[in-house]
Formats: sequence, structure tokens, C-alpha cells
Amino acid sequence: MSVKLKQHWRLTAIVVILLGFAGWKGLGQFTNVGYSPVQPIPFSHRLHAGINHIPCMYCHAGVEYSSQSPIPPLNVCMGCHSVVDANRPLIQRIAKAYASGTPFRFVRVYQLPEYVKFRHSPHIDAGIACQTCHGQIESMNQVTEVHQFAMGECINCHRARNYMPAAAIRKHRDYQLAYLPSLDRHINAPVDCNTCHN
Amino acid sequence: MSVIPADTSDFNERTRMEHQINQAESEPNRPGARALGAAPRAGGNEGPVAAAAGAEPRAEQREAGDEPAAWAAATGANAIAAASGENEEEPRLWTTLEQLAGDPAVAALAAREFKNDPRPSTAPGLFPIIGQSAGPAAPAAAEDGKGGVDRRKFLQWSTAAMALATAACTRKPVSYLVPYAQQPPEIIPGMANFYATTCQECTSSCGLVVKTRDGRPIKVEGNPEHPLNRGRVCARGQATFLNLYDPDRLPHPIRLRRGHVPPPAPGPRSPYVRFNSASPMQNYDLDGDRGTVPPQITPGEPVSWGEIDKEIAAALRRAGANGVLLTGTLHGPARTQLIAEFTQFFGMRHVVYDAFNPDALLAGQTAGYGAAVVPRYFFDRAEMVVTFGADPLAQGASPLEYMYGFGHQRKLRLRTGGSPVEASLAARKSGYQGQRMSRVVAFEPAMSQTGLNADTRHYVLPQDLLPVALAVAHQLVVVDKRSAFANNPAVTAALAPYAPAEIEKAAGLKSGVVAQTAAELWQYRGKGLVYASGLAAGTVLAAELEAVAGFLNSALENEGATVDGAVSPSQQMQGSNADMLALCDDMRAGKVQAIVIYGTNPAYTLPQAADFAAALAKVPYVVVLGQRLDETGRLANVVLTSLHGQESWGDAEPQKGLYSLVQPTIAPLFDGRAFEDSLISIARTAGATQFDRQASAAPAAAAVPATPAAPAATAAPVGKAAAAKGKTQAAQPAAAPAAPAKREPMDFHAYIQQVWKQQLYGKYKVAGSWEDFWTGVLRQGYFDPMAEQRAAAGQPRSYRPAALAAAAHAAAATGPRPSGDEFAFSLVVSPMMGDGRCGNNAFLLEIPDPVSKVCWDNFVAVSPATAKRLGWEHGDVVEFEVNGARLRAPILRQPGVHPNAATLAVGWGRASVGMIGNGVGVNAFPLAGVQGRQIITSGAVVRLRKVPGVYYNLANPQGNNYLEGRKVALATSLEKLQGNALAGNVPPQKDESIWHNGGTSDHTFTGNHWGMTIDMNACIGCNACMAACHSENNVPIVGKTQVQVGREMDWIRIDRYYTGAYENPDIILEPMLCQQCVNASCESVCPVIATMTNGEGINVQVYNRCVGTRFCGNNCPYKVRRFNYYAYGEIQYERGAPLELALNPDVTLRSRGVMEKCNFCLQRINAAHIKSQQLGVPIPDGGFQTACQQTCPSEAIYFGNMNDPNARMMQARGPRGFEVLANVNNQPSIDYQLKVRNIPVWKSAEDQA
Repeated sequence: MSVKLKQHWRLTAIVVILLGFAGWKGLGQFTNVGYSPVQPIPFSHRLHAGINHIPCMYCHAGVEYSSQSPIPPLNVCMGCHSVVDANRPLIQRIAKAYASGTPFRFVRVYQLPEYVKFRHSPHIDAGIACQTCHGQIESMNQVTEVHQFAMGECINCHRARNYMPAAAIRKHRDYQLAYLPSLDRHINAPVDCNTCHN
Repeated sequence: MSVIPADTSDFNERTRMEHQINQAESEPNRPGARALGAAPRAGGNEGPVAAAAGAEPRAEQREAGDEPAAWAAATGANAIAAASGENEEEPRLWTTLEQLAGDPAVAALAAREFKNDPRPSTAPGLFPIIGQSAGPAAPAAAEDGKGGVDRRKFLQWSTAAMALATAACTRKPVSYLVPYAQQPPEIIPGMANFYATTCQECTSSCGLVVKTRDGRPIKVEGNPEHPLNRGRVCARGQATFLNLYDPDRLPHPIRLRRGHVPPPAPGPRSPYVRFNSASPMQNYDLDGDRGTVPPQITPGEPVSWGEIDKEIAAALRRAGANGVLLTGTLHGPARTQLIAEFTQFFGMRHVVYDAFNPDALLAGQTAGYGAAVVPRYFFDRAEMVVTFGADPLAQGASPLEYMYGFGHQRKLRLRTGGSPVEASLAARKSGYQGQRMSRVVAFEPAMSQTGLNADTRHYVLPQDLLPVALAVAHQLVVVDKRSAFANNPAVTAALAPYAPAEIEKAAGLKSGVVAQTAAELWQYRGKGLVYASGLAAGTVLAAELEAVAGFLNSALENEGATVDGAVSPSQQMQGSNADMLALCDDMRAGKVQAIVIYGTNPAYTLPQAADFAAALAKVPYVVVLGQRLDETGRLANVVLTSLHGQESWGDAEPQKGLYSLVQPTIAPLFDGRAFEDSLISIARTAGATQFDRQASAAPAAAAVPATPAAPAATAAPVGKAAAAKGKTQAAQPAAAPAAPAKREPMDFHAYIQQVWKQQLYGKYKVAGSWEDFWTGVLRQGYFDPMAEQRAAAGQPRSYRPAALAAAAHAAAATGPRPSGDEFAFSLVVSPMMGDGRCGNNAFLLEIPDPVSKVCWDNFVAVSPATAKRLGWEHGDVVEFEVNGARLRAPILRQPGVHPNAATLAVGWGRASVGMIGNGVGVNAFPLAGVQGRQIITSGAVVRLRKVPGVYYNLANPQGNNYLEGRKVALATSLEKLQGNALAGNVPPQKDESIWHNGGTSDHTFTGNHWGMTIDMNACIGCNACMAACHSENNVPIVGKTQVQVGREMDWIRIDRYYTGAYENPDIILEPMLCQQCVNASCESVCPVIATMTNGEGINVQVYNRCVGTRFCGNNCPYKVRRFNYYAYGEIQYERGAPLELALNPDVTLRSRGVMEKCNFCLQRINAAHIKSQQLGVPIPDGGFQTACQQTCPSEAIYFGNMNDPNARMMQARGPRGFEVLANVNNQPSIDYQLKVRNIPVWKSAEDQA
């Protein structure tokens, strides 16, 4: 066998390289780290959230109730920009889009498979900062995906947050609620499959 | 009993179970399932055991033993049973005749868990009425699963797939997020909004709460406050979104060349029929071209609304008094007034016609009480219901209201009152003494849904219904000398000829039945109900039967108590056969110059004898308004696209004084316009001024907040919907707040407000401002100003004895009777299809009929005994002629049918409804007879001739499971239960558990442990839960051939078990869903842990982990796991936009090769958890409901936390509860309260003799 491998080392190398490439690319399907598409309007989180300290939920309003983090509608933009920097060409593009009722098609950065039902609201509710998953978004001019949203990341975080007596780990979860001093209440980060998959 | 006993019986028992679990399914639809005549063998299950190769001899011996004895031995409870005198076992359960007969062919198939070859029909699809054009027939069904992909092809594809995977491997596909330009204030993306509206799927107008996500409605639930349906929705209501999002709807108004409209394409375009093609995999999975569904071809040419309005207005002007507006029942003050104004403006007349019309009832009521009203029936007060050929649960003025009341009366309660839960609590303490339930007696030719639920069923010919009813009256008044009419000489003289003994003999009833029924009715006087409206009662003497039913209700003091004809009668059925037939005559005579048709489909529903098509051909100008191009639309000059009830404004007045509002929950998906808006627009085009917005009215209307979902903007995120949105309609809301112009058009939204303001707000002197009133009604969904009066009823009308005398006189001539091999033929209503208007709805086509459990077809139901005598077998097709119409249809040997009766359900066989429903089943409507101005649906004497050499395979999902003689459903009688709370319910010995410590400690649930209690008494088999589950959980439809091989995907099903003799068996209905076992047998065999019990006792299925071994399905004793063989979910939605909008975004659409099953609506549980965490309180009892529980019309399903003894679900667990297959020791989380029949003992002895 080893003789044959030596004989065909070129072929073997090509196969290994191809497989490695395929594996790396295939992994990319799930990690997507570094994905930073150009958006139709160069909205800068750094300028808004970082420099001007606009709270995230001012624009992403409703994320504390909803499973999604709503992309702000144009009327939210125009709430300020009808006055602020109204003469800049980019702002005028927004104004024009708002007036004609044709919103921008933003390229989606964070995307989970259909069988994962992530919900924003309980995480906001448990005091998880946006940056925990979305990185230092307030320093990004163009949104870049910084975390690989593999299942391990979710699980590890849930495990770390939850109080779990050692005896309970082998068994099914006992839904011990973790006390969160910063919020002064208990939270529950279950690791049952159905927490995310249903 | 949990220790392993030394003796071997327990071991044998276990061996037996293992065998049985491993040879679970069978199906009746296979070749050779024909041995009806074979005598049932003792034990009845030697076959399967013998068939299982390698079965252990000891197990076999055990099997061959007498089954009740074996059962009793296994339970170890015979001591209890003997002590309580409870020795009799309920007769054996069976589901199909083949299983009853112990057919060896069934047994041979029972060894196969996964089947794949139904015998193909030689007469597939389409049984046209002979003489009418049929269109091309569907191709013969080929065997499925055999064609597949061969090895070479598979390798080719694999290589290609590998190459693609390596070469074209990029990041995830780019997708886009499109926010609103102007987000409506009430919308948060991802959050549901709820709107109260009124169901428009039939005319009974139940209140709905519609859940919308991002501007698209995805789920209906009942409006819990609505007085009619009290939060419940039937199967058809639950399936409404497949009608709304149906790609086969008419996309725009069209003009047709009359007489040159091509026939619609029949079945083969349906994805469900295409499963028949030789290689389904090629079609669906490896072939990248998924869009193989041929596009919907709309005949005719599109026309613009403005142009068509002018044309119609001119035609109606010309026609004047010769114009006709033909509609289905439309109630509601605004609609009524609009139609009145419209017809008055053009001077035309208005005719109302539905598929089912109360002509006979109105005639009977007029004769008896002097007023033509459809009474309101209080089934929720009726402790005794007697039906004569009627099926109020399936077809009535207000089926959901009836179902609710009927089901609630079936529940056990304390005589002193109180809720069923209180009764259960009391039963735990002191047994069931002093508890009551309703008694139901049915006289009917064939088993109906009501008959399914009857305590006592008598089959009688349709001709005998009236004499039997008269005999009951005779017994009551003449013999027993009871009731206020006892001394009325006119009554006694009229009833004199109807002595019970002779009538019983003539009708083939057992002696004493009439006397007993009369005695019981008298016992329950004032809280009984005699009901006789239905197609099967629609004989020549239907009106007389209704008159007698009225007499009985009056004599029994039910009038004014359970029957309200005075205070708030029903307005849900306003159609008239007589008017329609008169209109046909007028059309034939050339007296109709123009006709506008909406909401009714006479070309489909009228009898052939009425010859509607020929009559309509004489009308120069025909306008049809409809959501789809139906049979009547194909005969029209122009077809205007109207809107679905979820897209339009409207109002309803289902019962006098109860007003219900229809509000849109989505912008129109197609270029459609509501019927009412069309009327307004046509009238305005013709110069009417009453529909102009008045200057004073405009500001008021403008002040009203722009109601639901700001249609135009809401539809934006769903892309395709926005693109398909009608332009005309979209312009109108935008125009509403504008300043009043000179001739501002009024849309129907404004018109409703105007009428409600004048008629309701003003008339009832509502406190507060009009705007508050209107907003309140929008929020509430209905307006019930007379709630107290309506609930009280209590105004008995006085009955005119002359009506009884006339009926008794007429009954002397009941017409011809079937003799020998003749049949009395009745049309019946299939509860799923109703009048056929939902004919393209895949949910309703696949959800099986409650009685026969057959789906995707209708059939001629005949008695098994007669079929045996005539040599008819499974799969035979008969040809027959009724009232001049000839038809071929497959037969079904249906237990409970009179030996000389045959029935066929209407509502099937649509010719032009859409690609799913075209040609499914046969159309039975043309078979009705026309006599004068009467339509006769029952009693015709026919001869059925078997068509030789033709085999037609019906799909019966119930037959896919094989019982192996196991007692999975239990029943007892009330009398026995009162004596012994454990009557009929002997807990079997449980097998040793393979789980640690006897299965007790491996799973502990310290928080919630979700469980369910199902009251089998209350289950009426209506299938609403199935439809709700389909809608909530994106459960796909698989098509007929896939059902035949046992691949239906229903997460919940209603099992219908027969017990007793096959001529007239007793029924047990058992909703069956995943039992969420604590020690689940599926869990222990899954090699990848894709199924596991979670911390709350739910057996979760992780789709993305499942690799599709199907071990779990094989090992599940309840057969509730469903394997997705062909990506059914995706196929269902490949029919195109906008169908995929019906999907619930909270639930994964399962892919191919994945096992799936009920999970107690996990998405709702998760939502409840999040809410509870946000509020910082535990989930309260009733904090959320599963979809099936929410919609169950009779509240048979309780759901809650098993760790909370005060949960309603736990309190509902009375001592009569049992676990299905408890001996498997899976510890299911569902408790079934066994079925109780209210059969007095002195009665049942005679009955079973």
C-alpha cells in the first residue's frame, strides 16, 4: 500500500489537496466567518452606534419582543435624516427611496439554517449584549460576520449560563434556573434539542 | 406487578408484544383482501403470528388461546372484574372488514412495516356522468417505488453532485433582507398580529381570530368570545389558507367565448397524481428542474375592470326586470342592504340558491308554526337527541355550533350541573354515580357522522323515516297518552294508522324500539331534540317529516327550550331550491336577459334534471363572480375575480340579532375585487348615486383608523404577494382619507360603516361614540346586542295539529320501496367536502371521511351483507341510473348501512376547481331528482350493476394499521360505569421496562411535564384537529397512492374502531397522536439519538439529526411516526406562488428522508417559555394551547402540566382513564378517558339480542 502511495504520490497529493480544499470550503458553508458583503447603502454602524452612541434598539426596535432583529425601515432613517445631513447625496438617496416607497435590499450577513429557530428576544431579555454574537459592531463600517455560528457556540454559552448540578448533567435537564446577579433574576438557558430545533 | 414473575406467562406476553410491534401494519387495499365471508376466528390473530417467520411456539400457543381470557389473565385484574360483576368483555375491535374476517392475505401483509405496492386501479380517476364530456382520463397508475433510479443513474448523479459540491462550493447563498419603506406602527417583523374576523368558507359564519405574520395570515383559530362557535373551528375553516393561497385561483377578470371554453385539464396536473409516474424520484429529487408543474392556463382573454363595468352596467340596464342577481346565502345588514339597493336600482330580482337549501324544513315549519324560519337548535341543552336521516354534525345551518353543543352534552357531568372537570373530580372520590350524559338515537339509512356518535343506531330506509317518526308520535300521544296533544282528537285520529308494531315490522326495526324511543323522549322532555334535516332525509315527503319533527319537538316541550324559532332563528340558510328551479324555467322561457351569479355554483350542484347549462345558454348575458373559474364560470360571458374572505370586508348576521364582521387580513393576492365592491362599481357606472360618499359621511369614515394590516404596505415583505396584488383594490384604501371630491366612490368598507352606523349603532343606542363602537367591533369581531334574549330562547311557538294531520295523510303513500336487489338511494354530505366549494383543498381531500376513513374519493356505500350476497368485493365498481343520470362509482362495503340502502356523498367530482381537485371522486349532485319545484335527494329506487373487469382502489388510511387483536380503544356503558368506576377498564399488567429502575427514575421532570387528557366521549370525529395540525405544523399532503401504501403524514389522526357485528357495529373514536412516552420505544432504537425525551417530557424529534433509518417508526407501538419519503412538504408547495405563504415560519419544513411526528406544538411551548421568562412567572395552566386542543369543537382534548395537580388537564383525568397499550410500559403522557355509551341496560340486552 505504501509502495503504491509512493508510486502515485502526485495523484495522492492532488487528492489530498482537493479534499482539503473541499473540506475547507465546505466548512465555510457553516462558518461564514469574515463574510462582509457590500450593502446597497454604505450604512456605518461605527458612525451611528460607535461615534454617535445611538443605542442599537433605537433602530432595531422590537428586537426585545421578536424572534427577529428587525431591519430598520426607511421611516426610521428619515426620522433623523430629514434634518440631519439632509443634503448629502447618500442621504438624498435614502430620501428618494423613502419617497418612492422602494426600500433597499440589504444583503443578509447572519444566516442560520432553516432548522435552527433562533429567537432574539429571550437573549436580549437575559442580558446578552449584541456584541456577544455580532462582534464589535460599533466599530464596523461594513458589517462583518465574526463568529462561526456552529452549534457548539450556542451550546457552550447555554451550558455556561445555566446552573447545572453535576448529577443532572447525565440525566435530562432539570431546568435549574441560573441566577443572574446583573439582572437580579433567574434565567433559563436550556440545552434541550427543541430549544432551537422544532 | 412490576417484578419479573417466575412463571412464563409474562415472558410470553412480552414476546408477543415484541412480535406484534415488529409486524405492525397492514393495509386493506391490496390484492386479495376479499375474504369477507371467512368466519372470524377465535382470537382473530393467528394469521399474523403464523405469518411471522420464526415466531416462538409458546407465543403462538398463547396467541391461539381465547383472547378475552388471555387478556384477563394478562391483566391480573379478573379478581376485581369478577367482584364487580364485570365479566363481559367489550367485543373485539376491528377497523376493516378484512381484519374482522381474519383474512390471511391481510395477515401476510401485516408482517411488512413499509409497504410499497398498491394494486393499481383499472379505472383510475374520473368517473364522468355518462354522456357528458369527460376530458382525457388520468393515466393508469403505475406501481410506485419500483421505477426509482437504477444504479447507473444513481452513480451518475452522485458523481455530478460530488463535482458540483467541490467545484461550486461557495459561501451560503446570498439572500436579502428587505425592510419596509414605511413600517406600519402595529407591525414588528417576526411578531404575530391577530385580527378578529368571520369565516367565509360556508354560510354559518363562525368567528375567527386570524394570526398574521408580516402581513400574511398563517393560522386561524376560533374567536373564543364568539357566541356561535366559542373559539372552535371546523376542519374546513382550518384549511382555509389552502383556498386563500391557492395558485389555481383566477388571476384576473376574463371574457369567455361562450360555448367555446375548453374543458379544464383533469387530474394529471396535480402533484399528487404525478406520484403515479414511473419514476417519482426523477421528477422530484434528483432532477434539478422542480418547476415541472404546468402553469395554470386561464382560458379567455383578460379584460380591464373599467371596461367590464361599463359592459355589465349596460347589459343590466337593458335587461331591467329581466335581470337576475343569483347569489348564495348572504346575510349581514350591509350586504343585505347593498343587494337590495343594487337590485332595486336595476329593477332586477334577487334569487338565493345554495347547494343545500332548507326548502323542506321551511315547508314543515310553515305548516306547523305558520312561519318559514330555520330554527336555532340548542344542542348544548339537548340531553337527548333523536335524528331521522339527519346529520347535524356534518351538514346543518350551523355545524360548529351543533358540534360544540353536541360534544359537550356527550361529556359526563354531575346531575346537579357543573363542568365535566368537576364531574371527573367527583368521580375520583365517589365513582360515577349520579353522573349523566346525553343520549343519542339515530334513525338513518347509512352511517352518518352523527350516527357514528349515536348511542343507539337504527338503520331504516329513507322511505321509512316518516312512518317511524309518526309511530314515535303515535306511541307518545296515542298509546302512552302523554303530552299536551294527548287529548286532541285531530292528532290522535291522524296518528291512528301508525301503530308502532306494524311500522317496526315494515321498517325492519326490532320490536319495542319505537316505544322505547318515545318513552325516553318523554323522560327527557324539555331537554330533548328531534332533528330531521338532511340530504338523506330529503325524500319526496321531506317536508312532512320536518312537520312531524316539529310536532314531536312541540309535544315534548322542546320547542322554546332547545328549539328557538321565534327569538333568534338562524339566517344561515336562505337559499331556495324552488326559486332556483323557477329561475331555470324562466331562463328556458327566455325571460332572463342578464344574470349575475356569485357565491353559488348551480352548474355543479343542480340536478341533471334541472338542466341548468341548457337553461343558462338561453340567457344572452351571463356574469359570474368567483375566486376561481368554476363550472358555472365556464358558461359565462365574463368572469370577475372576487376575493377570498380573508381579503375582503363584509358582515354577517348568522342568527337574528347576532352581527359578525369580516375584515381583511391580507391585501388581495390577485387582480380581484370583492363582490360587494363590484356591485357598487357596476351600479355607479350605470349612474347610481347612492353609492357616492356623502360629504357628511366622509370625515367620519376618514377618522376611523386605517384598519387591518395596512394592506399595501404589509404585503411588501412577502415579495410575490406584493407583486400579485391587485391594483384596483390597492388604490382604494389610499383614497379613503382623501378630501371628499365631487363624486367620490364609496367602497364597501365605507358602506358597511354607513349601514352599521345607521342600523346597529343607532338602533341599539350603543353608549359611546361611533368610532369607539366601530373600533370595538373590529376588535371583538362581532356585535351581540341581544345576547341575553338570544340565550334565553323560551318563546315556544304553538303547533298547528293540522300540519301533523296533513303529514300523516301524505305518509300513507311513501312511494316505491326497494325490494330484492334494489337499493333506496340517498345522497349524503361528506363532512370534509361539504358542498364541494373547497374541492381544490388538499387538506380536505386527504383528511379521511369520519365514517368510512376513505380519502381522495367518494364511493357508493352499501351494506357488507348485501355486497356479500351479490358477490361484490373490495374494489368493485357499480354503474347505476338515478333520476335519469347514469354514473359509475366504486363501492365501499360500509358497516351500518341498511341492506337495501346505498348512499353517495356529494361535494366530490369537481370538473373545474383546480389542479388538485379536478376529477377527484364523482359528482353526485346531478343524481338528485326534480319533482315540481322540489329537489329530491333521497329514496329513489335504483339497481346497481357491477361493472365487470374493473377494479378501483380506494385509499383508506385507517386500514394501514393492523390491530393484532389488541385492545387499543375501550368503551363501556353509562349504566356499568355508574356501578363500577373501572368498568370496561382493566389495567393490564405492564411489561418490565428496559429502562433503569423499572423506568421510573431515568427521567425526572421537576419543572413542567406536558401531558394530555383526551375524553373519548366528547370526540365526535370531525377531524378539525387534523386540519389544525396540518396548518400549524406544516404537515404535508402526500396524495392518494401514497396513502395507499401507508405513507400519510398526519401527526394526529382519529382512529375509528368498530366493535360487534359488522351489520350495525358500535363505534369507538380515538384521536391518536404521539403519546410522548416517558420511556419511549422509539428513543431506544434510534442510532443517532435524533429522538429523545426532553426535560419536559416531550419526545422531541430532531430533524437535522435524523438519518432516516425508520427504526423508530418500526418500533412505535402507536404508529404515529411519519417518514417523509418524497419531500412531500416541498412538493406540496412547488405548485407555485402564493401557496408557500401558508407555511408557518416557526416550524421547520421537514425535508425528505426524515422522520417526523407530533411534538405537542413545540413552537408554542417555546413561545410560552419565552413569555414566562420575560414576565418572570411560571407558565400558567392554559397559558397556551396546542393547535388540536384549541380547535376541538367539543373540547375533547385537554393539555397541561402533569406536575400540576390543579391543572385542568389533570383534573379531567377521572378513574375511567386508560393508557393505550399500557402493557408495553412506555409510560405515555396521554390519558384517554374511555368511551361511555348511554345505553340503558334493559335496552342494551334487547339491542344486542
